[in-house]
Amino acid sequence: MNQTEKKSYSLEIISYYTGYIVLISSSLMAIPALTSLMFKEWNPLLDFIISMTVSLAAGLALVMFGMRMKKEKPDVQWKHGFAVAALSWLILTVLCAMPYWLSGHMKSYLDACFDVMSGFTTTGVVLLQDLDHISNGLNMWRHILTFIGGQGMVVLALTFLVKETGGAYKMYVGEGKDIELVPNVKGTTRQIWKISMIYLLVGTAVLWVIGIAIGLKPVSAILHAIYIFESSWSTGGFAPNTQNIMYYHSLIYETAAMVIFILGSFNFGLHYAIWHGKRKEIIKNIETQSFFITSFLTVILALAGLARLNVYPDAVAGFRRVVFNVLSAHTTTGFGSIYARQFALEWGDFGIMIMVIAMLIGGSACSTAGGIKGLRVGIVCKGLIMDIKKLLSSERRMKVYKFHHIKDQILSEGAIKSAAIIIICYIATFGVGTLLGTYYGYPLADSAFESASITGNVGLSIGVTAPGMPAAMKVYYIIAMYLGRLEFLSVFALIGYLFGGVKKVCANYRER
Amino acid sequence: MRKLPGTLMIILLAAFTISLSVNAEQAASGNTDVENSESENDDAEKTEKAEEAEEAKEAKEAIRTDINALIENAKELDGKEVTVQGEAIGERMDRGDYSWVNINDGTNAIGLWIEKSEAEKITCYGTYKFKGDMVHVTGIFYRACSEHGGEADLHGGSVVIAEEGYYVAEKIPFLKKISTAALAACGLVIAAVCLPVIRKRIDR
Repeated sequence: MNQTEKKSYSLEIISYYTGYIVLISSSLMAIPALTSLMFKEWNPLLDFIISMTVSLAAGLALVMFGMRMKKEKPDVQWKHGFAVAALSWLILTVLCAMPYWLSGHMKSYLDACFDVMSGFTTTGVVLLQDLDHISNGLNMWRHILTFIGGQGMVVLALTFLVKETGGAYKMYVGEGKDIELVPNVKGTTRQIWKISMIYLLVGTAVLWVIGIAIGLKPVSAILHAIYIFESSWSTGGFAPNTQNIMYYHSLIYETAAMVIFILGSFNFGLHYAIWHGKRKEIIKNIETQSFFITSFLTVILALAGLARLNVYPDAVAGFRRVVFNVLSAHTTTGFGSIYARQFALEWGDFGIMIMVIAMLIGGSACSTAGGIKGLRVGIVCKGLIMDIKKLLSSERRMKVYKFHHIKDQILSEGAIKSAAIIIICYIATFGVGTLLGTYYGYPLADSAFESASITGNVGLSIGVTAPGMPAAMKVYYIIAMYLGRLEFLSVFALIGYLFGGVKKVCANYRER
Repeated sequence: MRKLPGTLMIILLAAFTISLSVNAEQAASGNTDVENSESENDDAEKTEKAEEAEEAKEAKEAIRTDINALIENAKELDGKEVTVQGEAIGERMDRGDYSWVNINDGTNAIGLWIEKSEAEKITCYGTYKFKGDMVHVTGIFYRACSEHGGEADLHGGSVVIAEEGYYVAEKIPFLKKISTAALAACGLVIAAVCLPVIRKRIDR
């Protein structure tokens, strides 16, 4: 097999698997189409038929282009897996934005892409206008996007694989997941969906009962329950109304959503381990330890800071607002139980800084949450402690340092380095976002808050994200959400692959 | 020497007369000052009373504002009576004798905590298919309501339906109907052609 043939197969491999993921994900438009049909919403029904036809045709075209690869059965390499994951997210963002755009609720197609990327990456910021008057079909689509995005489109596509392929694990890792629940990837992805679907049934039922109890009509209560569950479990932060979680005016509804988003922010490996009787995992796991420590510290500090400013009239009010919002930020959910502008006007710089830190730390690796992740924070902190201990102990003493994450693992220099690199990437993305915000005249604290929210895939807003914000900021925020969710490497691989291709084309042109 | 006492007497008399006249003038001017100050005091009192009356009137009338301005000026307006007008959205949520109604005025949305009997005046709520009743409400704004766990809300007194809601009929553009039919037909043809090819190649 010569070099040209190899190159051609690379394109076909990427095209085939990307098309396959696009086909599976686009098929999901049938659900909002059926919802529109049920509620006799004819315009949205046509929107979904148009969008689904175009998306399926695009997916089919990509699969057809890559069909030759199936015959030759070439090896799927890491670069292919990463490029497939990154490219399918990009193509799906453009295709899934069609129903938004056709609904007439978006100012531009860029805004529609922004909202879809916000959904896929479980961020939850919105540019959609007149949210209180959108159809049930479009609302269903918004929440399905965030639910699917939480587990991953690649995970969804791999679940439907007829037989295991060599490249499945590479694509799976390319989407920012690396946990192996069972020995094969197809089984692992099915376990992830099994966990999510069981929680979906239980969580929706609980929210439905609470919804009826707080005064929602039964049909409306079930729709709200589905939306809020999907949004909470995937740590998305979308809600069907403008007021977000404040629409319900209910402590019990907020508490139920909070329990679901905390569960959603935990590693699927942790859920799997607990379901299989390893209950001690919740105490021993480095991620849960890191989450409990950082959650406790951020909540206490925020409470202290706001108590100093007398923001809330009593302890109950303070506790309810602070705990919910800080945990929503920490788990990268983005439900807000106060108005966006209240962060800027009432919480003060200290409160904003605490929120920024919580948003950047984020939830657990291989969960639906975003951010740097508790695992990386834990590894780097343990690495720091390890270095200090090494300095203080005798040079002749050799000790192996370990950490517990599902199983005992050696704390190697490589693990610390990998974690530190990703942390640096997150900080850099956050820094550029803050800089861009200040360039366009937003105050530093507001820019930092919004940038942390976008980079960490949180979705809380301080008022910067709006349909009227500069297009350059919208584009940067889309990129930051995308980078943050795929944890940089896949996107870098795709960029490297594209640059490599362009370089070769240029070289060929020069030779001619 | 005999003339000296008389001269002195005349001088003293003159001085007395002058002093009297000066005193009289001073007294006269003093009276004018008193009169002036009295009239000024009256004016100030009148102004104060007018201001108080205006404030009372304003307080009675309540501050007319929009929801975004309530949030932006939450500290200044906290605990004050305000009037807002917005569309009732979603649905009413009854909690005992009271109800929550959410209104959206285009700038933002807020929850109204009102008596159930008042909430029952609202019959149409804004959704995809309906434009909700336009509600004119006067109530007390709380930046962080202690009764409702620190939520920013409006405890309404009176609700007036400024404009009744209505059903919004869907209009499907002709172009959309045509393009849907054409795309669906094309999609079916493509699927019918491509899927057997894909299946055949996979089988091989």
